[in-house]
Amino acid sequence: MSDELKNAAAEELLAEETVKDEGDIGFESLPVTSYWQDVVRMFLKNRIAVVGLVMFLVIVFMCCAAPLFTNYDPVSDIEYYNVKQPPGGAHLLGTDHIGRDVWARLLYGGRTSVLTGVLVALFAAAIGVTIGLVAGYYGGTVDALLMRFTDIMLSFPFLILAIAIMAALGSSQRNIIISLAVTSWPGFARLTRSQVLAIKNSEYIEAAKVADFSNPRILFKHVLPNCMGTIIIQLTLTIGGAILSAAGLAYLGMSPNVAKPEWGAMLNDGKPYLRTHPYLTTIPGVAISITVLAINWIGDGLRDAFDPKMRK
Amino acid sequence: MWAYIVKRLLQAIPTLLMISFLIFSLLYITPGDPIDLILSTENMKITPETRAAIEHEWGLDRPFLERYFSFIFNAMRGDLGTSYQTGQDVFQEVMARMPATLKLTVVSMILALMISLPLGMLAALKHNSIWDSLATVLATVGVAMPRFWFGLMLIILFSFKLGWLPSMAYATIRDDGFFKFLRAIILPASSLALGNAATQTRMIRSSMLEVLGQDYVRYARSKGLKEKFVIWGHAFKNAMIPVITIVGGEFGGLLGGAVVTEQIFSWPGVGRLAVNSISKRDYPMIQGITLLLCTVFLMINILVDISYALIDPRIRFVSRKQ
Repeated sequence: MSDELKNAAAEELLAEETVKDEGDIGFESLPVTSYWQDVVRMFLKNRIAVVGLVMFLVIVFMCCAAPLFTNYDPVSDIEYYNVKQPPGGAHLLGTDHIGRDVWARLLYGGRTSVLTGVLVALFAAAIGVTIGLVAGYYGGTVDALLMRFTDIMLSFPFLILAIAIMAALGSSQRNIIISLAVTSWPGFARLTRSQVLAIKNSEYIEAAKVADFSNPRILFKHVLPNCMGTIIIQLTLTIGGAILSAAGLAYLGMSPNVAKPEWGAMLNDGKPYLRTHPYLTTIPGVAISITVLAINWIGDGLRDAFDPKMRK
Repeated sequence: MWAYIVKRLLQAIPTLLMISFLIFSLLYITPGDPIDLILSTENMKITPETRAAIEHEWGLDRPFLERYFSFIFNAMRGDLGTSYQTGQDVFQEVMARMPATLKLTVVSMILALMISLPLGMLAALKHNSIWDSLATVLATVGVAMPRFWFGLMLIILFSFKLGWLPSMAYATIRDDGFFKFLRAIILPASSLALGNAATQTRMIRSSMLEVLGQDYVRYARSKGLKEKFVIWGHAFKNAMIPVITIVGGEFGGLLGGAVVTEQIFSWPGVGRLAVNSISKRDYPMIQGITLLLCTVFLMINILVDISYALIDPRIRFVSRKQ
């Protein structure tokens, strides 16, 4: 990776340590775009990535502003006399097995599902990045131990571990997040470590060491920002993966059987009616797929945008 | 090479110890008493003395570490204990289910490769053509769909609407013949294969594109080799090296993914057993399943690494000491 990365960091270091001489010829005559401006520019040039971003924003907006799009309450509006109505008519996407509006449950359920994915990715990143930073930077025994542990976690069929954790903690949405975060961090640790190894011996880190900066300061102010690209890509892709896994756990009946809507739980509700009322299963799955597709497109766009080879 | 294999096998031991310790501690903090759970399903009542006797027999009254070490020592002798639920030997019960899971993962891996190899190659060779777009669409849509949901959609279409294939069936080649086996396994395997077909197509495409741009491919072309030889003799082999690593790593994901797939198609594999045992707090069974699944996974990884070194002469077993 990256001369760009190094330059960006070197600039940052310069900006911190010395006062820029604005009178210098270079500063005025060249249009200066920062690393992040470059990334954003590259991202916006990518049509599929932008489509993904727009799709994702629309989905998030519709879920957040759910009352604007439906008149039904996903939990309390139960029409016992009107169960399993096919899509169309008064209920846009029909009603479920106890007469709740599917469209309303889809909108409100999206809040939980998307938030679950985001939180899992954030927690997993927090754990994985810290471990990767420490392992890569300190090296030696620390590195060997931490990476051995990471490999062990990776060698585990993670869904089984997640189910076991769910069994230990009890089923709730919070525990789904915990169990998925605990099983999703190794990817972050691996990636971050390899980034740190690439950065560790560069001159600006040497400079920071010579300047007698503390290790945490070097790690978080100089090493971490240069791993950000990789981390953000992984973060995006983990959100999508977590939404899928959370749906899988909920489908296995690991989500609490409460009235609160959630996409995976909706799939679980539709399970007995697969033959007679397939739309109860089809609809939440389509919602999950579209959301994850949008997120993955954003992730792919970011990957290209952060890749210095792609920037001409 | 034998030294390398032995070394890898030895390395697997601490991994398995660590994993069993993780699972053991997890189960230790798991709320819900197995005796209570069995009693409630059987609708029985027992005296405190009987309960104490059962606890003693299952070792539930002993301290954590003692229980862990006795488990490890027994496991080394091939004894994984007996199931709380059925009273059967855990090792035998899990191993009886293992072939079903392995068949499912292997067939779905073959299916995935049958889709991804031609499609990925076509996409790379006919860069920016309709095949390329098709491959990209499959790769992005395939990873975005929940595997189990795709399985459900397959059931709706092929079992309920068209009536071509059974939604739940199990058959073995030996007892029912190859055709019946294929009929039974095709839906679960396809549902499991989708995600892998997607990632592999993408992998093969980009790996092939990269190799096709290399100097040695240009050289092979410039010395007048037929395109067939350039692609299959030079480019393909080199492009496959990173793909093999990915494919090997995917087995772990498949073993995990099989859990939900087996649930949907009522496939009598280890995954279903795992879900059942977890809900019943069948500690010895959960322990045994995780330990044996991880062993299988580690073995596959070692096999992949060996084949990797056999294919790529640049990798020598000795140089892996780091």
